[in-house]
Amino acid sequence: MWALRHPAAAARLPFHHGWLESRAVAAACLAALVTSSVGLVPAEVAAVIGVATLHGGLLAAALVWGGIPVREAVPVIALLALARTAVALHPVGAVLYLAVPLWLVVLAANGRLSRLGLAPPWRWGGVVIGTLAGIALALHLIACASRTLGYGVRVDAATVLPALAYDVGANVLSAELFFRGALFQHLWRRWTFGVALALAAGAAALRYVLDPFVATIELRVGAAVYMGLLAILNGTLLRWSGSLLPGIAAATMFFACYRLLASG
Amino acid sequence: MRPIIIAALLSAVTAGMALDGADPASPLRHLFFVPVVVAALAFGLRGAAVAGAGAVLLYAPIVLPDVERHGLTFATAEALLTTVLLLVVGAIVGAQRTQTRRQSERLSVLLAVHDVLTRDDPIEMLLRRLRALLIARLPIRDAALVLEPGDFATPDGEGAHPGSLAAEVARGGGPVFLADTGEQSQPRRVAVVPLTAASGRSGALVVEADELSAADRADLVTLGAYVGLALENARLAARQRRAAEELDARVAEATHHLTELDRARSTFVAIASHELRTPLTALLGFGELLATRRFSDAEVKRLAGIIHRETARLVRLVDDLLDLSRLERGTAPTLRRAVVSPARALSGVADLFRSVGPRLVIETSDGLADVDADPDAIDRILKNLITNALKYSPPTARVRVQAVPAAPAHVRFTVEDRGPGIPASALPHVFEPYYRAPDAVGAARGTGLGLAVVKALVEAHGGEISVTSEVGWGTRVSFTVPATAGAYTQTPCRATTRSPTAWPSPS
Repeated sequence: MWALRHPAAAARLPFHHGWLESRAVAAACLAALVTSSVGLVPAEVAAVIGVATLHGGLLAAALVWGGIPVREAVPVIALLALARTAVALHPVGAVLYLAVPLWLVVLAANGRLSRLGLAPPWRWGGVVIGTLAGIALALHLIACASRTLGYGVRVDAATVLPALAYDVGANVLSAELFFRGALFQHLWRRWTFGVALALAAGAAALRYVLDPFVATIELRVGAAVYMGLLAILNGTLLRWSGSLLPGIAAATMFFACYRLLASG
Repeated sequence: MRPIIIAALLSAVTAGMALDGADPASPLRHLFFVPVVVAALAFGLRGAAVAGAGAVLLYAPIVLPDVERHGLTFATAEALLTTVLLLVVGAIVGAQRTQTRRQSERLSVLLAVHDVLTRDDPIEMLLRRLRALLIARLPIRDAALVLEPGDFATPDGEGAHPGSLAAEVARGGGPVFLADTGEQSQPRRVAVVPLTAASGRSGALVVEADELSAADRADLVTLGAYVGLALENARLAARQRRAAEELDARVAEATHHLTELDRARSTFVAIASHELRTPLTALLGFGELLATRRFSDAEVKRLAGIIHRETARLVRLVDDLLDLSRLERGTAPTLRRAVVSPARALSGVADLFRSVGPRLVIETSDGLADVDADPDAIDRILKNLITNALKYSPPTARVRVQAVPAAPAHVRFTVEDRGPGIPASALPHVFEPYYRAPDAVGAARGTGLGLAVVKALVEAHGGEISVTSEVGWGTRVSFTVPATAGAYTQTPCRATTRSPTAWPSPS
């Protein structure tokens, strides 16, 4: 047992050694994001900066927090910028977003993301449950949105597939790795599960509420509710399975269903 | 099964409302409280939260379109209030249920700890059972009990590092909570609480768990205090048990001794009655003969001699009985001390045993100091020992009596025979009243009082008596008597043997 073997002084050692560096990365990305959103640059350039700094910043901060050196984590920002630029040129460029999960799979297979909850052995039963839970939440969203706001369901591959690639490569991964893998686990090691989950879910919901692309009040309320619920669901899945993978599956399915919604 | 029932109830209420035209003001909405309360009662706060959230999520698609269409009206506000109430009622009922269950579990654990620690087992086994019980009954991963601040031993033998958190608390620190050890992929909480007892700190209880809320930690502190007290009680009970066992053994031993004494006493009474009756019968018979018949002078003289011998035997027996009475009262025999020459004492005794002839070998040393003793007592001691030696020896075996100087300022008398010897198991008891060695019973007559009286007389003189024996070779009884003050000679003594027969030595 730990308390029988280790000296009392060891209890004060920090767990996350990359805490300071990850905050520096996050601060730099936040500054770039604010700069891009105040209209100083053209809209397309602002979108590239937005995706790179928001998702890339969250992702890089999470990786540094999880023990990956800064020099290895920061290139993900450039990778996302490149993908967003390619999308601006042609929708097929969204395929480049998938480079991020591929790179993360390599890191995870080597056991370098274990602190973030991504390490073998993979529990596919948890992934199935996460998928079903994400679909259930998304169906609720679709039901509410269609009944309340009159949204319909569309199947337009040209629009849905690039959005799905963006969700998989940037949106879901950055949110899951930062808000669950890094922030929630960091908070959970200091406070109880309930407190940590509430704080991490609040932070995740806030990130979507403050997102400049979530423009209307209905969307903001919806984002707050559903992102909060998704955060609670994924935090619970992480605790239950010990892996981030079921949460990633749930979020992916949720956003995939969400992309099927069309106003009017 | 219960989660399925709750889910079915939620689905049924939703379906009912949908069939009722999806009217948010439908009275059916109140039925959502049923699964929420059932979940709260069955699973506590967590169950209430899940069921409440489920109810709200199912009710929301019915309420929100109205809110969107009509804004905040009385009807929509009432519907929204219903969603809030579902969560609030669930939370209140669930919290109460959780608290009640926690109290019940706390009492149950304390009762189980009490049961374990009051068992009649060694303390190490109790501690192992206690650890197993805590791991089984509490929502924890592992537990350890650190005892004895000297070595911080744990019942399972793991031991604690002297600088560890557990040792620190066991030494006298307060309760410590560590949110995470940092060793596992998920948080591992550690709580170390002192085991406090009335007599002071007795160790620490270490617990590792996935979650330890503030209430859990408070419970652990209470548990530590209770375990500390229970351990102290168990230790005291074990000590009492050992003391009781020792007392039982002593009582059994004393009872056995008393039983043996009583048996010996009964035997003595039987023997003494017989011994009294024999000379009395002889006195009565010969007295009657002398009174009723006429005898020649020589015959009268012979009969008088017999009467005298039997009377002397009766006197000895009565003396023994008197001495027994004194021994039982614990009073030392009364001595009339005088200056006694050992050589003269031995010479007097030798005269008494003239009839045995060369069987008795008397050895004294020239220049032997006089002793400060009661001459009658010395005479009686020697007669008793010599009689025993002759009685238990074969008819032709010799008996040696010796008097030699003994340091410091004592004279040692020794009576040695070549009889059958005394078994080693009987040797410690030969000086006890009534005791007769098993082999001696039946071999020769005796009351079992002689050696007890001899010992009392020797000790009354301030001397010591001892016996050594070897079965098949013989017995040697030695006793010392203090010499008169200043009478001890420094010149080496020269042995004088009254019998020319050489004394054989064991080879």
